[in-house]
Amino acid sequence: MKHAHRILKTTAIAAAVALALAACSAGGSTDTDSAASGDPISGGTAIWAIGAQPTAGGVDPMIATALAAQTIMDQGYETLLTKDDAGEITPGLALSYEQPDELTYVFTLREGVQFADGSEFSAEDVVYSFTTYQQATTSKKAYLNGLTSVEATGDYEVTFKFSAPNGPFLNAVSHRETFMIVGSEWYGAATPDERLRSTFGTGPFQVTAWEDGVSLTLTKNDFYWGEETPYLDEIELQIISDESTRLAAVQQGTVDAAYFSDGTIAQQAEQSGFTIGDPAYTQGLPIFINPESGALSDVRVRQAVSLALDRQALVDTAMFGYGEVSYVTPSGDPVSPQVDDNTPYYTRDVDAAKELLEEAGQPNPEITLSYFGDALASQHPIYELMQQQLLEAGITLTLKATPTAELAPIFTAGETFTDLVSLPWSYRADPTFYFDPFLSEAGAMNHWDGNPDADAAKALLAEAKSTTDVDAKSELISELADEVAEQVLVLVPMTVPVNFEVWDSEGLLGYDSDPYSSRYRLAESWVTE
Amino acid sequence: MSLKNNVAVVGTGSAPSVAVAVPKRARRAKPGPAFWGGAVILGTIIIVATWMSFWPPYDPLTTVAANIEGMSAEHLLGTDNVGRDSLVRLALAGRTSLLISGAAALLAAVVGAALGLVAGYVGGMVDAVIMRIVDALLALPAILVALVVGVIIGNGAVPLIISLGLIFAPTFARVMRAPVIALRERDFVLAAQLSGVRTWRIVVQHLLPNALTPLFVQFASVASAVVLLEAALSYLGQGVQAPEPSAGRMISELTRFMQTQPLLIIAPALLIVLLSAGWNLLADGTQDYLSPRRETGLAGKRRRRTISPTASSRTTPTTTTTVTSTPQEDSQS
Amino acid sequence: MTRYIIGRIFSSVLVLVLLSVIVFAMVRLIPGDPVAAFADPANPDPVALAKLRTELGLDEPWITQYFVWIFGVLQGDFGRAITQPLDVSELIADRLPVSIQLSVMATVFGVIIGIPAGVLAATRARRLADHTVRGASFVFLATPPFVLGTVLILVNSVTLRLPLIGYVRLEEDFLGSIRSMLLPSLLLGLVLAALVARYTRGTLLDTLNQDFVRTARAKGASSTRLVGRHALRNALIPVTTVVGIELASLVGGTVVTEAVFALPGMGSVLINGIRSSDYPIIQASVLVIGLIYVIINFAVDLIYPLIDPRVRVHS
Repeated sequence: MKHAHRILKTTAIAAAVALALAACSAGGSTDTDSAASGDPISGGTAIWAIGAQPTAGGVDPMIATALAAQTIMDQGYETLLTKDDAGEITPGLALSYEQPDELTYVFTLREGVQFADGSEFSAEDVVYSFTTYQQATTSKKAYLNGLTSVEATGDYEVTFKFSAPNGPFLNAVSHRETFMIVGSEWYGAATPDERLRSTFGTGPFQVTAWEDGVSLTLTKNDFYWGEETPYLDEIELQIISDESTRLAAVQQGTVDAAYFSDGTIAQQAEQSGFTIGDPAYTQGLPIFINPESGALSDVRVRQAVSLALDRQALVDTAMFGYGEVSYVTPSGDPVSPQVDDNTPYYTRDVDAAKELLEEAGQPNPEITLSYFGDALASQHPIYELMQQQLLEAGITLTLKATPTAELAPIFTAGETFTDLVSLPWSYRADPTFYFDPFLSEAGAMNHWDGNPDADAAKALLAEAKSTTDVDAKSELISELADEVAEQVLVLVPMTVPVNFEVWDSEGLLGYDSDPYSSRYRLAESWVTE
Repeated sequence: MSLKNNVAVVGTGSAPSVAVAVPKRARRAKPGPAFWGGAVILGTIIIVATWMSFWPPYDPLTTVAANIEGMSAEHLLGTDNVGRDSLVRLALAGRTSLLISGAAALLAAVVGAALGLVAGYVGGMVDAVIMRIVDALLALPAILVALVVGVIIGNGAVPLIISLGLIFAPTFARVMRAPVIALRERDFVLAAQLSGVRTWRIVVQHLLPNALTPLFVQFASVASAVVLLEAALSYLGQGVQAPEPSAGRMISELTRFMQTQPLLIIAPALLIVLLSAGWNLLADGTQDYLSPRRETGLAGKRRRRTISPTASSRTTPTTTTTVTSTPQEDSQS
Repeated sequence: MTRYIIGRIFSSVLVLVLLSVIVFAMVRLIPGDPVAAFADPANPDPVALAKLRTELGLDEPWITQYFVWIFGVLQGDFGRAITQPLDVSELIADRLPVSIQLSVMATVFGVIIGIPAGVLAATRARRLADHTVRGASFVFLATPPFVLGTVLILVNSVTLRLPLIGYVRLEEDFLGSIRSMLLPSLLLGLVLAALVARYTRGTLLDTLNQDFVRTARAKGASSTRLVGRHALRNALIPVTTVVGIELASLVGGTVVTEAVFALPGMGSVLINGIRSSDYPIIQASVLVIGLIYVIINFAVDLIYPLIDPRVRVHS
């Protein structure tokens, strides 16, 4: 029953998508008054101002993990499946998939797709990609737990076999920035250097030039499988690291669109006539806890800390409203449970907090919070306000601004930290991966070994990771999120947008933001003049 | 053109024997407007900062009102992005900056002068090695030194003072070394050595006082530079950390409000300008006071000036501002 | 003279060697991890990272690492950047000219504004012109560069809309390149001008007060001749020193200006390298900046004998 339902659903979606695409390419709207809402125009260059360029790994999907690289690679490379804005799985390079049993996935690939150099895309390339991912530097293989084989069972059919149920797998292959498909011929023949600096994919735009510190150029893929898309000839990504200067570029009109990480600046851009996209609240600000020593080893102290926080006030005052109260799964992730009045210890109650502290025998605990001192400056007021809020309950929070370089060893070499450390992160393909770092065995921020407070949560996580049923998994994640909040295994002041996208809606048309910050709609956008 | 006169005047520290011989009239009786200007600026900041430290109308670390409010009766300079009173925070930022600049300059002076004295007096190989190390230190970017010291000792005011002191010590070393070299061959030093006076005593009692003028001037100059460097480091995230107020960090955090509430960055920027200029004026004023020059220049070129009877045939001792290096020691190294 | 030059070359080399050792040790003392840029913060794979560290030779004893690096440097190879997909020499070859152009332009502004201002102040000592110049110098010397630049850029973006942001390569468009650097180098140059004006004024006044000058004036020499021939030459000495030092320090010290005006220079390379603990980049940048510093110092030392006869006498 399950399988048939799945096929039906996917086929229906595929059909719907095909219909939609057909509609698009049949010709735009009936409004022929102005180009502003008229037919797409082929050609032209869109200029988008970004804040940072890709770093280690360049634009090679087998190596690069930086966010700056992800949002560029996803223009050049495509994935087997994708997700729509509501979080439903939609076709990508694969038109549909089947699960004959819990351990097997069969993907039926789209035919007639070519890489940007003209070579044909087929099942071989999928096999090549996934086998390479399993040996690559990037840790994406964590999503492939238990994968025993990937085989081309037809020119356009690939079969994955697992030794144990892998819950996150489908989410991972439908995230635009995780398992990007590379070609065995084109990518395979390129030198490591070339792969770092340009892309070899099937996507609508390929990275063809990169001037260090200045700009990256994305050129239209003439062989793209979209009927008329992409319309743009080129996208130029201008690198302007200073946000105020980027704002000036927007105000001056020298760029068509820009990213901002600061909501107040994005708002100013809006005031000068640019459109702001719905920001995706997917940058979680998890504050990891080390309960091995100090006041936080007592769950009551942790609960008191959580109670003493007024999260909404943090959002309103420190971030000017550009944030959302959230579980450790960011509220902007379509599959994330949403915080409500019943979320344990999320509603501020200073008196209850003081009571808990008394009970624990620690009326005035002192804890330290380390955070990135030289980055994400717009988030520092959050910690400053937290300090004030906790003081009202008698908790002394010492802020330790630490250079980025000094905090890195915490997640690269598993170094310990004192009490609390704030490590902002972004969207993960699968919700279990928001819990992994501090709950699973190999988690770099996991200091709960041997601590019974985390047992229930660990069990829930293990279950969620091996559940492939979407609804059951959703339930488990909800339970897990509440359990984590109940035991205060991590502190989450809020979630903020990874970035705010602003664009000139009269210069760049057909564009809108998406909750994954992937800018996939650039494939359907065009520029006037 | 007498070369010997030039030697005595340009670039060397004022030698005591010459100073004694200068007629009283040539020496300025009181410090000039530059000195007082600098003193007043710094003095005002000290007073306001002290007042705000002990009797602040608001807690500088607590939210007391809505954020980004402009000037008002309750909040003379408005509130910052978290609703804290700006005036109090600014005053404390001034205090921090003043303390850091003074302490860093002092540390640099002590360490640098010691190095320069040793290098200058002992000479030879020791001199060469010390000065090469000094050169290497001068070539290091300030941010790197600050970062290294910051991570070894931790962040905050004290590590900042240490790093900034280290960054500027080399300039003091150079300033100290030049007059020491010029003086060590002089009769009174040789005499002291012959009489068996201990080396350190010679250095401290005879050589050090002669280099005091450039030292004082250099102190204020360096302090002025430290103010700017500290602001830049805080701007880059290395200096004084949240929630302590710091002018440089205020600017970096609040630049995003430049178009909505410019007061938020104008005030800290002005503070930095005032502090830095204050030290600079003090430096200039001190130099004028301790080694005045007749600033007649070429004024009154309409009529020929005869040499006035008050002019001394001995040139008034002056010191060229030796902020960085003087030609002498480079040619002698 | 030859002995002098050889001596200076020798000590310059010594300084560079010392610098290389200092920076090599410094970057490894900072508790950062160069391979952190490869890690997915939520999904770090310590095993893969350890493997990466070994591949990059970071596990070797420090002495080995140092000599491997130095041998490479002596052959012109600064190694491969860790956090960027570039050869470090490529990176520096791209960025250094930008910084040098900025420094040179700033220095030119500083000198052509500063020296006349200083002369003006000295010849009109204690009068309005003097006070104006001195006052302006104090203000310029004291203004932090990051504020003024941002203000001007934002104001410009809604008024004049001149192209102030970004960099045009020199080889592509000479005039355009100069134009793209006009404002930042002017801002930096004004600070230098203030310094130059002070020194010029100071030494001019010193020189003008000396006996020989008074004698010359008493004999009827015109002021211009006096200023031009005797006084200015003396004034050039400390000015040259200061210009040399500032020129050298500008090359690596303009991080903020580069960020504000979006110029791809050495300052941002250095600060990004420091933030991500990219050893090859930090080491190479500091060494190159140090080399420039040493070269400029050397050049300044060579110029001294030309303007200051005493140095010739001494050596």
